[in-house]
Amino acid sequence: MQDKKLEVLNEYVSRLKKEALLKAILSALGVGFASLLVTALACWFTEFGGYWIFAVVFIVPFAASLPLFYFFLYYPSEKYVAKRLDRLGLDERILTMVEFGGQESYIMQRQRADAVSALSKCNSKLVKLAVSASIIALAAVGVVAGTTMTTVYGLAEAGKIPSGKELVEDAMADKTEFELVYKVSGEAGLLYSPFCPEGSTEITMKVKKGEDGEIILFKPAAGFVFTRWADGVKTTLRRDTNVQGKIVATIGFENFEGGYGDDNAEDFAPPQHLGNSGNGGEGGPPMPPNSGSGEKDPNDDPNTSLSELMGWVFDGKTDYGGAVFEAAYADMLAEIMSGNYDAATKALAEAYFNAIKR
Amino acid sequence: MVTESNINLFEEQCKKIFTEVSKDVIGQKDVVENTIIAMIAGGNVLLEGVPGVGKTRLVRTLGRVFNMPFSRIQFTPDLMPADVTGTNIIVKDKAGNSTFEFQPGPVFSNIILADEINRATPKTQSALLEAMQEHTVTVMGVSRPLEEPFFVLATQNPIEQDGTYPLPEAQMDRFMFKVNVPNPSLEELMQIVELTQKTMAETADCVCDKKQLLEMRATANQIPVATEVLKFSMVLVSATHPDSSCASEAAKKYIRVGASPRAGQALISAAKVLALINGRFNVSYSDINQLAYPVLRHRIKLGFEAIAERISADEIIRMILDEVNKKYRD
Repeated sequence: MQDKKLEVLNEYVSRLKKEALLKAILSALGVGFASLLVTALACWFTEFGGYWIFAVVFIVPFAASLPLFYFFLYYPSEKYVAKRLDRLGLDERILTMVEFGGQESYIMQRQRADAVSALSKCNSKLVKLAVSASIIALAAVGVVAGTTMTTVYGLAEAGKIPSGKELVEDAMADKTEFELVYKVSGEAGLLYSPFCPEGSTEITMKVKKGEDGEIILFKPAAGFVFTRWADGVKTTLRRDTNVQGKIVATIGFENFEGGYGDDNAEDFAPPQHLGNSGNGGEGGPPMPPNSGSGEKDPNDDPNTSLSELMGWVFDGKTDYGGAVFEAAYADMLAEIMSGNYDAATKALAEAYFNAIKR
Repeated sequence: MVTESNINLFEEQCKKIFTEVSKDVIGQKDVVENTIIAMIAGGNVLLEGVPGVGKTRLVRTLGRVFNMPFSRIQFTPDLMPADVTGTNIIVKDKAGNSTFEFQPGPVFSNIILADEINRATPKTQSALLEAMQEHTVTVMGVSRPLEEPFFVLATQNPIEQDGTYPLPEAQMDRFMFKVNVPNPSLEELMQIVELTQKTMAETADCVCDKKQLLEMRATANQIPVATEVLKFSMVLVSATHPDSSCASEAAKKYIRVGASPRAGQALISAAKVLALINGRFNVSYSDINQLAYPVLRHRIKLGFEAIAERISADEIIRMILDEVNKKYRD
């Protein structure tokens, strides 16, 4: 009778073992993908590379947890099998049969016979493979989260999206913005900028703390001479870098009533050390006037930078356009661009020369 | 040791008992079944119902079917404890000397019909306490055992509350079952009237004597109860206690005092009998669920909320069963 009991249970036990295996696989998948999630998150934050890591951190936990789940958590015990079978409407016959299997009293023999008879009327397929919603949900969440995080890591590696490290740095960066305002009053001229190519009497931009503003170029109108910006900058071309506060800069200028005229043309010769030909004279580019202010004549100093030179007359009256100046300044531009100047200076020069071109 | 003949005897006797009782008691299938289960299990039964539904007739029929000495005690407010238990009376012996002789009361029988038990005073009601639990009677310091099997089948009327004394909890706890006797259905009513128009005589024959009944009890007692099922029934009893670890939400809200451990004993004893009556050789959850109502309804003390919301004990038991079944079995 005991053997018959065990034989009758066998087909149900094997079916419940399949269920246990399915549950173990789902649970192990959850563990594997959870491990993948953690690793992908760490790699995304630390910008640590290597797709081989993901294979390892998925396979090892999955393979290690699968037998643990199967044998220690989900493996159907005799009691569990009995309870599941009794749910087929067997009124706890199997549970009692399994528990009192060792007793040979007449009542127990009748009970076993009754249980076996009732069980034989059931089809093993009636025992449905039941996986709890919580196991499925956990596995699904693990798979989705792990896959998503791995994809995020891949996109960050490919440069499509920022990495966690970049996001953190950006989040921690000071986002304070400052306003940079450049003004020129009346009809003295116009201000130009890469985002205001048509020119304006006032250019405003917002710059984050520590960043650089855009290049600003002042082109005086006819009859006006640039002197300096109100904050002391002496060049018509300026670019405020490493901004630490609000800047409001207005143009300083003078009305040029007399004009330099041709008599003073020699004052407007291009700077010598840049290789400009001519020193005034007919057709030659004018030299800057002697301001008499005690300011150093940049022409005397071979180390004068281009930005300092641009503080000189750029008066809007004299026609710097045309073939003579363009040719001369084109040579200067070529020399500067091929020279050992930094990128900012080269950009400055290019913007300046473009400003004087018609 | 239970043998095949014991099982066969049980099955035959059960069939005969039900058949004979149905000759005199029309319908009331659940009432009859519960009462017989309690008797086989060795418990006392309290039958509650409006007048005229057949409570007394059922008890008298059972008395006849079981072929055991049957006593009827009509409880009235002036009934004294000595009227129940008996007392010592002075008699003259052969030598002419006066001596005390114990005159046993109606309780010295196998089946006691305690009719309208709630009409007697608490003092008289408590005279039955010892007899119901310990099957002994103590008079003047002398304990006398009652002959087995011993049952008290009490009746009470739920609608006449004037001049009645509700049974104390201690006594209620000694009834294995409290069975509500409902009004008969229309078909049953017609059958009752047809039967009683022909004859008022009760025709059930005796089919089971004391010895057979005791054998049936011993047989049923051998029915195994799996640990899970036993645990389930104890969880059910504990769930009626609002302050226990297994307390159900319904108990916390509606019950003031839960069922005693006697409820657990009664559940298992009765479930074994029910299982065997149903042809099974093991107790199942369904047996416990079915017997929860007669076992628990008189053992739980309803709280104020239950009374205010007019929720009956049966409804509370149903809520507890739903909760315990869902939590424990799913």
